[in-house]
Amino acid sequence: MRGHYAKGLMLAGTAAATALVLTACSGDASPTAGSEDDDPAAFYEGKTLTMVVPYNPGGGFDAYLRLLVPYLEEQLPDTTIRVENQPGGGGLIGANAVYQAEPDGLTIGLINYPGAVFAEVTGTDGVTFESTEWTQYGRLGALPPLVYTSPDTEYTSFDDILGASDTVKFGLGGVGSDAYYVAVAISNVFDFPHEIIGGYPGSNEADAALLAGEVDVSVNSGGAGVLMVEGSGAHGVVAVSNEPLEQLPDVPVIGEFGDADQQEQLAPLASVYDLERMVVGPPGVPEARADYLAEAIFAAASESGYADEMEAASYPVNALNRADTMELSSTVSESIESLSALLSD
Amino acid sequence: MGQALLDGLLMLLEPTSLVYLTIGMAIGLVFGFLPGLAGLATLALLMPVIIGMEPVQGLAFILGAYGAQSFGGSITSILFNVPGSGEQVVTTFDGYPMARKGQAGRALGVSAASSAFGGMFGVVILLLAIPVALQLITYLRPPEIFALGIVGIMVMGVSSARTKIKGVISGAFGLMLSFIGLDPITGIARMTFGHLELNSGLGITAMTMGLFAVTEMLVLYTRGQAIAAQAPVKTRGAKGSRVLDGVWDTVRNWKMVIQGGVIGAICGLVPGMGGTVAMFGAYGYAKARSKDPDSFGKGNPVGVLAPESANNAKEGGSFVPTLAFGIPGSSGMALVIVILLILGYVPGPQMIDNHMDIVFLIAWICALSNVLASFLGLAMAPLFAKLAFLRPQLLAPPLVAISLIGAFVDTRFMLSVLIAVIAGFAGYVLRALGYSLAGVILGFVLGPIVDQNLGLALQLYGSGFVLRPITAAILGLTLVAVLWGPVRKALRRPKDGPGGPGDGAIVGAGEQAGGSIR
Repeated sequence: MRGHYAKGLMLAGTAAATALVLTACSGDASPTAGSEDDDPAAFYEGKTLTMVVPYNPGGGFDAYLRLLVPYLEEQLPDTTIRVENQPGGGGLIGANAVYQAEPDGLTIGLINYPGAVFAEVTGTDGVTFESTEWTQYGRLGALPPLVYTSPDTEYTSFDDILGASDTVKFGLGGVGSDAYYVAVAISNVFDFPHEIIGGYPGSNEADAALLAGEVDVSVNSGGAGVLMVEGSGAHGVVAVSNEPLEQLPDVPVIGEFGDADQQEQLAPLASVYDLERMVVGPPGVPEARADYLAEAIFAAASESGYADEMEAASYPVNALNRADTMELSSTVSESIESLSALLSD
Repeated sequence: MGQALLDGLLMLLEPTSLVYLTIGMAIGLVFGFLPGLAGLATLALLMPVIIGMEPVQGLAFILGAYGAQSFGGSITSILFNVPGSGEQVVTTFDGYPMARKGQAGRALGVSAASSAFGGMFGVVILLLAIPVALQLITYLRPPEIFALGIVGIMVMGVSSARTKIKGVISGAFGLMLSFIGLDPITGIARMTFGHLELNSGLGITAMTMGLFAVTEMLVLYTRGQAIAAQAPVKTRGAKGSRVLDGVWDTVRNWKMVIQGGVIGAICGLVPGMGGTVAMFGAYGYAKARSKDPDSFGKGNPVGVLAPESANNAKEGGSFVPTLAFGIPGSSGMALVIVILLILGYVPGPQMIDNHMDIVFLIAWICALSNVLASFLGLAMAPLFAKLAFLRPQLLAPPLVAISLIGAFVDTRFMLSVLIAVIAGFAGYVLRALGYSLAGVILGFVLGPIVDQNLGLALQLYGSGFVLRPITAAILGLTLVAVLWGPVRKALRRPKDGPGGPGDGAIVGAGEQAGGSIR
């Protein structure tokens, strides 16, 4: 790792020199390309793999990829791996950048898949991707959103919120974040007075606002939400998931509330979160390469050292291989229509 | 608490930790000396190195580098009028004129001594504020941050424009440029013309590198003379321009150093305010308090020591929201959070409960690296000071190249390099016309703070937010400060009238100035 940048420079230099020699010696480079298609391992030799984090350094998505680098380097010893943060637009900038990248298998990103689906179905400005078209490499983690309330609020359970007579204030880090859409969906399906304040710079700022009593409720995915409950005395009121959270088994899941109709409306929301942290690439990456890289990522993410480090940072790893990920996503794609209805009310 | 304080110190005093600290600091000084690679970029570039290190050694290494880089940045601000990062624009105001007078050594001495003091002061603030962090965050809500942003906008007047109106125009121009990008409240793209790279704005590093590094090198090149060429040869190393004279300047103005430190620490405590506002605030304050405000901008050592103290004190302050809530208090702190995560610590309330020794370790590292960096810097200052006598043909090309690399490293968009180059040429024209480039930068930094927090304050509290006690106090004092000057002037006018200055002013005021006041 220490020689990471020096190595990168050298590799870049060598690559440039090789390219020059190739162009100088023969105008016919296609045989090389052909052999790389047959042998994806050879293709990745000496190349640079860019992993895009569509969020700022310091968050969970960043940690998932940054801590994966050393393990992925073991799987791809001759490939330079760099992590690039492309934050902004609730993750849209980074997701767009990955979608629009050259489909050569050298650009991947860890996207918030539910967030991307939400942005697409709500017609958010600047979405250039279609959720069904991504090249999917696998899942690193699935952290269902946790809805939690301020430590000294009157709302200590989800029923308290549903029966509220005063306006319930949601504080969220960023309009268009998936936490924002979860708040929108919940307040659309259930009828209680609410206000959604999405303009906090990030979820940490929203949490601080919650602790300061400025807002009543916040939503955050997985680890961050659990930490707020365990560390700061926030009340975990409901998990947007089909199964109870591993760390907080006593917190009820969303399906336990409302009538049958409301439960049916919210079901796709809980399901899309099975795919939350998905590694994707632009559409049209050659199958052989996608399989090869997906295998390397799955192997790296399955290392116990990676899981331990992530666990220490309160981000559970829940790796899923390429085939299973694609199967899950095909079932979610069928319910995109109903998700759209849920968010557009 | 006392035990944790001691544990933290003992962890740092282990020989291996000290070795890592020293190596980190040496790297930090060099990085700080490379414009655009200071601050944030230092942390970003060193981050891969610490993966797998022992937590204590990793922290000593990377925070040592971070503590040392700001002094490295002061060196280029003073010698070349090129700030190491956006924050250090203010150091150029008086530091560079001092260098042009042949007093580069003295300016570096001032900077080193006040940085060291400010850094220590910030650490003290960190230690005092950590236990009451929750209360602090309860009082500093969006309305208050917005009000502080307004204070910052009022400070724009101190920038070095040729006339006051040009100073205001410079600041307004910076504000306008800062609104390019996504609206923080609605997420709608503004003035990006469909360029996704612009969604996160023009970028502070690209703007600073363009407006300062590129512009200054253009100026230097067209002038064709070394920076200190106009200094009389005999003042080199003469009494009054040595490094030690600068240290003495700092000791003599200790009150201003402390006041600068207070301003800096407050700006650090408020998430999102950052160093630029801290340094401008301290500079404006020092100028307002000075008996000879006209000497500011012409090489007054006080104009260097107040903001330098503020800048280093800010770091200690900004660790408070970072460690206590995981909210980055300054741009560099966003990466400190990642670093803590990499080393296995999760910033937030549970960090205060479970890892207090690490919190104190961080405080000790910051304190030690600040002081040691200043000693190191002072030892090397006479050597660096000679660079000011270097021919521009040798100095400009590498400096421009490094600055543009800095602009690129920040965002990794080629567009940032283009922005820096355009800003550089635009800056050259603006400066020739008497506008203030520092004013543009201040406006650029304050724009998002005011924009986002005004939106949030209105959403949360309605337009009545201005009546919240602290908000009302800040806005009220600002209003008084703004109106005080003109009112006092109007009241005093009779003094300078034909009746002669001085006697019977009060009676005269009533009679002569009556019309203009009422």
